[in-house]
Amino acid sequence: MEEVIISLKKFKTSKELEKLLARLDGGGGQEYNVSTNLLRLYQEDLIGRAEYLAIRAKVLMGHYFGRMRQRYPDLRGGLYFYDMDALRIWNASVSHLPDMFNEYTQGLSVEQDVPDHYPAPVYTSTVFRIEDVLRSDHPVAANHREMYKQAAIQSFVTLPLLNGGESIGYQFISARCPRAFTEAELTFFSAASEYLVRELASIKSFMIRQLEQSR
Amino acid sequence: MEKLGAAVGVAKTTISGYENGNREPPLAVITKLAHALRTTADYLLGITDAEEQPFLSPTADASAEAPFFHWNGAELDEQELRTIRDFIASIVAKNKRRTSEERSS
Repeated sequence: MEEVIISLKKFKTSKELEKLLARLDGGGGQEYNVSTNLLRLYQEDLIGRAEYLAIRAKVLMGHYFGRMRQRYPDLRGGLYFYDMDALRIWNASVSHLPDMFNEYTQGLSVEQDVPDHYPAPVYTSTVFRIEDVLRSDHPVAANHREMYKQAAIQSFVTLPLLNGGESIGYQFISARCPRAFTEAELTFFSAASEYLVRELASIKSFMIRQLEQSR
Repeated sequence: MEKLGAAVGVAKTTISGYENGNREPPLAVITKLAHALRTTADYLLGITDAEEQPFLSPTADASAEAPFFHWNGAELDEQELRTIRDFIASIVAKNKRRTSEERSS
């Protein structure tokens, strides 16, 4: 009996999710609240908490970067998880960075950015800025200069996502020309970091697993 | 309690039932409660600790038509819909893979 129930539940899950996919693909003429429908699937135990939260986080990050670009049209942003054990970074967000750059950060090893006796790359734990990538002699700029060149990144700032004392990743905000980042900009990004970390901390491992599988 | 009940369209005794745990609000009511209490359905359901979603506020122009696909009123663009779609497709694929593995074992 238990097997039948499990099998029926799986059937229902697939059917409901495929129905949702068809709705997203085909439209249908009426307004559609994606959140409420996903929440219903979660309440009915057809998708897990981590899955629901991961989708929510993706939407949230997309909206954040959309808002950022409205406010600062010359800037582009992305959000990265830092895997301290594997010394890798993962692209967590719906990023507005070029695809090539996103591909490159699907599990990019950052071993070369970790100085001896220091546990993590500097940009994962502190606000770190390079105002002119081509002229900077900072090791981080030097290590990734070719990649930045290809992605047309000439300046950037990173803001850590600190959960308690631990960094779960960072925001990466870049520009196509050399530039300084103003206090007002940094205040806006920092306020967002505080909020984003609350959303992302609990699903970091789940999202990294998802990204590993999609590599 | 009466005001809240009026805002979400249920009797104050029903609100009282939600508060003391004797009744479970349906999802439609949870969404209205979240709106009235200026928080999120996710927070009311205990899914997250974040009381608000500052980047997911509804489209500013309240008189505008409701967007076609939205997240509690915040419009979803093509890229976001694609991301959601890909994510759900990956869950479907994972479920199918798991089912066929279970069948073969």
